[in-house]
Amino acid sequence: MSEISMLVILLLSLALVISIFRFITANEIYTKILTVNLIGTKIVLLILLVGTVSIEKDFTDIAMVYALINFISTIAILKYYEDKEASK
Amino acid sequence: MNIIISILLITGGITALIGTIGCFKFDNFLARTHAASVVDTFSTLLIILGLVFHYGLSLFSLKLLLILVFLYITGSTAIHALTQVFLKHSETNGEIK
Repeated sequence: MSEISMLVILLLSLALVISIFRFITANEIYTKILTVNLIGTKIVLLILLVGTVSIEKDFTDIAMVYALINFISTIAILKYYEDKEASK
Repeated sequence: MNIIISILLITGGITALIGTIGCFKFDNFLARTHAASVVDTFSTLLIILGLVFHYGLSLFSLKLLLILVFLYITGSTAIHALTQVFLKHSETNGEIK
């Protein structure tokens, strides 16, 4: 189980690096917000997988809080840009 | 049982990688949201289901299923709201990119 978790952690980390590169090279704001949302989802999965490898096993609450904050921050940034575009 | 967990987890990881590469390769924004939704729904389902099979019937599994339901609802809602704002902006500018 530990080896498989490490393999999946490796795959998710590779996807995370590609996402960060996509965030840097994106030239419009919507792709940047989409990529931030993607990174947040993958970090939640990564926290859950690290909880199976590590000795400390109480990571599910942290993952839940991270998912909450990710959703609220995405909605808040979208609200900000919607108002900004409407007032333009 | 171990084989089922392995297949679920590795398929979830590969799906996350494929969705991210798709988010990189598509040149249309709406197609990119489709690729990101694959990571939000399919990869999450597979990885959390594999972890539920690993932990068995316990409180951890209940929390994991709660996270699964929560990610399903919020991920789809966030991308829907993003697409709505994009379409509103495109109508204001008179163009669909």
